[in-house]
Amino acid sequence: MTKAWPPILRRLAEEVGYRVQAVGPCLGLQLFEIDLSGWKLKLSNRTPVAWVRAADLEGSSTQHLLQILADLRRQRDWGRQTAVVLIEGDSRSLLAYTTSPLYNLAVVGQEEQERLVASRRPSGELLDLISAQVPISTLAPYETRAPVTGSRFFGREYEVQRILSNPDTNHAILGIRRIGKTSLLREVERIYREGGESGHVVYLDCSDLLSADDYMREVVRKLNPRELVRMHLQQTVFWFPNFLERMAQAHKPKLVFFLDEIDNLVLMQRGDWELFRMLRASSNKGACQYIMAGFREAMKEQYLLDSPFYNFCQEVRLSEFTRRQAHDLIITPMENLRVHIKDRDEVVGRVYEETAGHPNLMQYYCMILLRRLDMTGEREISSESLIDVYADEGFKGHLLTSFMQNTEKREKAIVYAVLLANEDTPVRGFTQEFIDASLRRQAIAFSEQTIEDACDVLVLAGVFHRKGKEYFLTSPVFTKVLRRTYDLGYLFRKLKEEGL
Amino acid sequence: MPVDPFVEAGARQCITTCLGLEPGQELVIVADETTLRTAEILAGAAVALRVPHTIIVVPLSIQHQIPEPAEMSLLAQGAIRQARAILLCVNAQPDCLAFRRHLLETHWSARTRIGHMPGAEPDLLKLANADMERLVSDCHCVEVAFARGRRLELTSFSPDGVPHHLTADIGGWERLPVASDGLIDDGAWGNVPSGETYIAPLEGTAEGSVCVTGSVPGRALTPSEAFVVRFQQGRLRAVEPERGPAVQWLEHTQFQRARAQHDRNWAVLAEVGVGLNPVVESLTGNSLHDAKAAGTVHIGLGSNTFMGGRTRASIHCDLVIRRPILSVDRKTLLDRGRLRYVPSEWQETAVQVPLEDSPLHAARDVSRSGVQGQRTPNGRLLRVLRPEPGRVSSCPVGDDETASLAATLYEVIPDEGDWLAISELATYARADAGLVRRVLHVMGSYGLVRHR
Repeated sequence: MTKAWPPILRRLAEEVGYRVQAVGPCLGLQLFEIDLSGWKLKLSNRTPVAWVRAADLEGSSTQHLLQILADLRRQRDWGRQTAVVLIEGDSRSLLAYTTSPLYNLAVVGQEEQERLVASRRPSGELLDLISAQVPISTLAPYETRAPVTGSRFFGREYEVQRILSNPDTNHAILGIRRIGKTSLLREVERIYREGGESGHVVYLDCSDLLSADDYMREVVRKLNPRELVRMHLQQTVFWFPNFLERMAQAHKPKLVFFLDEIDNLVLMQRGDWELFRMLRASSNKGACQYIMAGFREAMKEQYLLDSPFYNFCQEVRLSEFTRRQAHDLIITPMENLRVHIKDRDEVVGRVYEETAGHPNLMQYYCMILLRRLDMTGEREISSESLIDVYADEGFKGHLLTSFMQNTEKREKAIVYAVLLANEDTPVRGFTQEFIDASLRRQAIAFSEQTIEDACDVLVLAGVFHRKGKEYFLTSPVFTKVLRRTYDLGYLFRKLKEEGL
Repeated sequence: MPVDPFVEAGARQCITTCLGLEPGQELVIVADETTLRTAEILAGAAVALRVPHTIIVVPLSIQHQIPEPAEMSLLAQGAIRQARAILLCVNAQPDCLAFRRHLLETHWSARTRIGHMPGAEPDLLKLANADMERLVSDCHCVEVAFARGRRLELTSFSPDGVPHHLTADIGGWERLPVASDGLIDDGAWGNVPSGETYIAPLEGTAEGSVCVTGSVPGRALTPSEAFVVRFQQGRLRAVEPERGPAVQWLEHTQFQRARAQHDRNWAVLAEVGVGLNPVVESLTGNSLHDAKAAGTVHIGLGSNTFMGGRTRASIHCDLVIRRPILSVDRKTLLDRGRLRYVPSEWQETAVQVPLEDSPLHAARDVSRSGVQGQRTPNGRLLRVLRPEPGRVSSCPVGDDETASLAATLYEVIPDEGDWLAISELATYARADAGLVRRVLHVMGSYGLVRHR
């Protein structure tokens, strides 16, 4: 069957082991999908490939072909995916247009295809061709606003392994904002779904489920919507556990629930805990496994003896990346994008130290560097490339908006006081006593409890990091940007005027 | 069991000075059955210093299994995660390297200090009992010379006084030295205690011979056991006498093992290091200990990727030389084992810089390069060095006065890489234009600014 395929796809599938499948003709072109996820770039396991044969080229202008490809993108719902176009002929005229990021196409002409077929490193040469045509910032796997899985998932392999190797245990993935909780949850979910044999997977985003009823209704809707009607007629406290057991029997061996954003649910259940007692009971019976992700409320419950959370889940706490993880996050995609990093240890070290290993900030940092390379056409990053990252308005906004929106006046006052007390020196670890002294220097006295509570909020907002008795500012880059963007003395005075 | 007061004092230094811990900051000591005594002494010192500590004992049999299939308990991992500093006080066996590496990879974060003490015996703690201020200063003097220098020459002497010369290129900022002073800062890891500065020479550049008179791994040498190693194009080509006892020992314990693993790089000259710790009284054959002995230089064969080099090998074998002469760019740095660092040879005085030959003489604009500079609280400019992951060091830009002027200029030069006219810079800094150019010349020689 593959005999009818373009020779390069045939070779990649038969000799090199890529997963390739024909997806049929569309608008007169033969379409395929190839799994390029192993490249650890933004290329998916279903990267579209369009085959433009010599016959298709006859009588068609380049403009016509471009229109067909644009229609294909719409019709096949390729979205922002990069598509590969194999041309059975000269690709030069098409290349002149497709270098625009608007098209997001990588064109491979007949001559290049022949070279790839004969090449000793067909994957490498194909990647060379793609990365020369598509902006590298488009191909890069870095993502700062949405969860990622598969080829774009970095650095939490240890946590994934921990969860997968304990299939009879419930897990609570905990950590501060933007640390990668949802990505880890979705990655484990993906692996469960692909594996298939571990159980029937149910994914729920619990952010808008505010009551036990909301939750149960959503579960029933996902598992057997026909029972929604019956649900209303029953006393759920008896009916729902029974429902879960029946569903577990139907979907052997068990149900595996992936519950994201459980904080609101925890908050609404506090004091009653009926729902969580049911979940715990279903887990104890072996009918269900729960893997959940949460932030502030879930983190608190882990340690409360009278909470049904206590001893219910194995905690998987996500912290900042270690140096090794940071190295892989920065270097692997850059190498795959054929970007040379000069003074590698220096560049990686500085990115790591300035972001304190926060994965979201590191990815933002790397994206800025790649966008710059796209603009200049260069393919080398050195320590010189790092000097004006802070000037990037997007980066500044990314850092500051989150701080301004997630903190109240008292928390802001603490941050400003600490920074003002360390004006000439880099801020190191500091204790609550130091915070108190810094505030008093600004003629402000907070109670011990107020400082403790404010520090907790700052930890949860990802501004402070706590280690033992000491606090740290999470990333030096945040401090730098805050100091550069605002006059902290003025901000502090205004806070005082407005009242703390 | 009573503890030698020098060992006890060293243990305290390890906690307070090397790891920089203060009362209330958490310390985790990871130990095994071979290092329990050392861990116990360290714990005793921690108690006396009111540093809360936890000892986690990971037996050798478990170390062999980690990371797979065994895993440290969540309790142990939690303690490590919460610690401000971790002391890896475990055996130095190569087959437990995976465990040590695993701990480093899973727990080395931006705020953790990791002290590495492989093969820690109580006596090793004495090394921390040195005059740390002096030790740190000596380490950084050699660091400046190694960082700025381009070529080093090592002269060693056989027991009967015959000199042997070895030369190697060290790049001049291209390769950065490691000043292993034993002080571990946030986000850093290193040997504790320590006292040496080392560099990975540029590959393929070492030529000449060295007479090894001190120790080799596992064996301290008597004068009759001294031997000569000859290098060509950066690789060990001959060892003489071939049948000498120390050479046979090396052959059996190091070289044969490397060859058996089809290692092609074991013979590469990987390191030249200077020992600077005066507390080391005699050489023992423990490389970690001997390489720090003041008055010695060691050369390393094999792997050096962990110090900024490019050679990956199955071994790293240190050969220690007693009382050699070491020169960098023809300036003597070590004279028969004595440190002879002359600040004026390495830290320029800006007013004495001859401007006529400098490209700054006619330059119009200046901008910051990507190399990191840092201003000290007392207003001196430092050039930041990052020789290996997690190790951040710095050296002053010129002498005191120059570093102070450089800090003033550095503040004015835009930190986003934009160009600034030198004439404007002189106006902002309220300094004589000629002096500004001279200071810029010095800053340029540290890689901190570029001009056009």
